[in-house]
Amino acid sequence: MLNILQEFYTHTKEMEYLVVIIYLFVFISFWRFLTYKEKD
Amino acid sequence: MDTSRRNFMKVLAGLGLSASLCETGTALGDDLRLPGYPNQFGVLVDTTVCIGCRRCEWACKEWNKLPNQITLRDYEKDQSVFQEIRRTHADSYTVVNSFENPRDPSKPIFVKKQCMHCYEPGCASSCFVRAFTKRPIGPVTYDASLCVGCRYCMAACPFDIPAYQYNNPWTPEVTKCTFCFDRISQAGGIPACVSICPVETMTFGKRTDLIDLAHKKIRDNPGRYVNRVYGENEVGGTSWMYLSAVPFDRIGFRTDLGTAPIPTLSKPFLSLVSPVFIVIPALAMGMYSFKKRRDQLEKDEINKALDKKEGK
Amino acid sequence: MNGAPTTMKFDSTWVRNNIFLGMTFKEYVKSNFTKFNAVVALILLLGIPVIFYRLLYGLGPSTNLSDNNPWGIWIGFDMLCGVALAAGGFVIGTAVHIFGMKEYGFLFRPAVLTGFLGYLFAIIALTFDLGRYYRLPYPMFVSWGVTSVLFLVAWHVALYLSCQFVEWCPAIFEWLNMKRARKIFIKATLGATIFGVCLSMLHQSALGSIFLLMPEKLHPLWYSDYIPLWFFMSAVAGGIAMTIVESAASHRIFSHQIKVHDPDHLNRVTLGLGKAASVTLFAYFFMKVIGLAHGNNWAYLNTPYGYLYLFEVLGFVLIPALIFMYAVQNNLVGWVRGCAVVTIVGIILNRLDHSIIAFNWHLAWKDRYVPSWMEVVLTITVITIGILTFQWIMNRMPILYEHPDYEPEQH
Repeated sequence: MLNILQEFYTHTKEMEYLVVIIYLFVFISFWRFLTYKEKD
Repeated sequence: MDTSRRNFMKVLAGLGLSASLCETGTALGDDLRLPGYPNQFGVLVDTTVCIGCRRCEWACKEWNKLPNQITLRDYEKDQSVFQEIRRTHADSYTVVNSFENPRDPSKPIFVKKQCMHCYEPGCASSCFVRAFTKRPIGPVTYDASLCVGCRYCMAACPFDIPAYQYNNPWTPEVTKCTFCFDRISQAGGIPACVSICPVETMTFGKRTDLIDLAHKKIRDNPGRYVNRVYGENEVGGTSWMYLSAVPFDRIGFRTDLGTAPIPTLSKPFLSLVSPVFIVIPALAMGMYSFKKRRDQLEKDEINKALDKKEGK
Repeated sequence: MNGAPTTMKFDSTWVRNNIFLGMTFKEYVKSNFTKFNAVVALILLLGIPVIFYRLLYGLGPSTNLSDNNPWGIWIGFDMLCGVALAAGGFVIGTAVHIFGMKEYGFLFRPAVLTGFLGYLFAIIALTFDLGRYYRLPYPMFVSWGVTSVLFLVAWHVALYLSCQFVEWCPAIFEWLNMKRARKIFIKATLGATIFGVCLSMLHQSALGSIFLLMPEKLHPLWYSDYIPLWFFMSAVAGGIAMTIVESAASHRIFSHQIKVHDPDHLNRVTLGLGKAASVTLFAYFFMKVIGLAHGNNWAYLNTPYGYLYLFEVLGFVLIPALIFMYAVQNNLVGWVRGCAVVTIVGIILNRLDHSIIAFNWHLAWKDRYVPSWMEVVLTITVITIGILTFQWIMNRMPILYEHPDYEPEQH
């Protein structure tokens, strides 16, 4: 249970950084998929 | 972007946290209604009562076994310390300073200074190893087993309380009043300085009750106190609060600290961190592919020109 | 350099060629008795004992730090100025790899090397400032204080150090003749550059945002919500100025390494950098004026601190921007280099203003911080060791020239 700002910011920051880490890993494969062209 | 974020948090707070909201003791923090710790302890210091005997300094050093301890009588006899305004130091969690009393020059005003144990501690929000924790019963405790010694907490404290063991080469620690966390954790326990005070300058109790007591004291003794309880709203509210007969900036308090809690000051920047990580890679890859296409076109241009030349 | 043997053998001939620059050990030692090394030896002679004194007796005896002034020049100068001036790698890396300015390609490796060593020695100086330096990895692996701006600085400077190491690795592998590893890191340069851009934007501004928590200690002229942006823009300007000065110096000192000596190409590039520096400084100046208006600090200008502020902002931001513009229009490369030095001094003054001169401005002068001689000596020693490392690497690794056995980096 979040009582004071210190806990609220700690909790929200941890969630944010988790999302950022997932994004950075997913972004690489997303970019490869996006720019993938059949080698004709 | 900041205000929209705040509205979002309000909705969040409204939905998720209102159930646990209780009417007294709400944190005066960000206008986000966090409940704060409802039944935390506090101390009300009445500077018009303190006689400057400095027994509290002795008791604090005795209980916490701090270095450079002297006998109780020496504390009372040694009036020379009142020549200059002292601050908390590595070997003393609390100091009593004497201030000249504009109302009655013969009776100086004595003010005890120690950690205020803020509701929203700046030291806790500045520590990058989370060595400070605000305890539900009030104290802001320091954990030396985590501390790296970067001393950011000393700079972030609006009251300049944390001190450092500069002369300890191998295991220096940040030193500040612990609100006798071990004593007041037990039922009926009260801080060492409060217990020894001969004239009951300090009243220990629930912070909410102490706020009512302070305002009652101001009402019951018209003209004795400045109509302000220092610490009720300062930087989001503090556990230790003060009553004074003269304006607080005359007795060593900073009255320009405002009511916004210190942690909210770094929030605008912290809220920019994740967006940079999300936006910049996308932008950069866009620029990069734009550049590769441009190089490609350039190469095609050159090849076409070369073919044309050979073709002639 | 000998041919590119596929298998790697670290035998004595390799050591002779790559470590002792083709000389026997005795010749190599004799070749080091130069005037420059004499001065360096003197500095180290005084500096190394000071370093040990600090490590053995702690911060108290070796510094003027106090409870009121927890941070001194090791944070104010080494960390803040060191990291700001090491932004060259970031600026040139972005220009070359993301915006595709091939003309600046030859600047990339020296700039990355300067940046990498700048960060490395900023961190080494930081460890001397930490009370428990042996717990430096704590914010990374032991306990995360995510609400602190310093948490960002710690993580990002460490990550950016590895990013720059990845960007610099091709030069190492060319020196070690490891072809396969080099190919992998060449491909990784783009990713490292982009990740480096994110990290640099954040920790350059985070180093300034440390001061956001202490409005009651920093002078209102310097305290503002715009500190993160100020620190980032001035770091970019500092990076560009540092690249101008560093490329000019290394092309003169290590000129024997450059095979095809083309001074006007360097001049053209210097003018281009001068133009970029002029734009950055010009925008930074107006960002400062906006900060002045935002905080409504006009009244403070007519105070001693105000004159210092004007001296810093007009003398080291606006005027260099105009000098850069004038010099670029009239192709005065000498002026561009001179103005770059002035900009670097301006960045250093700005960082010292934030951390020491305008910090604790409400305290009496007797409580204010003045660096002790040991702090200054230690700072100079750390910088000297940095320059020595830079020189050691420049003499051995293909930084200023393309390694003959490898085709130039292109991607």
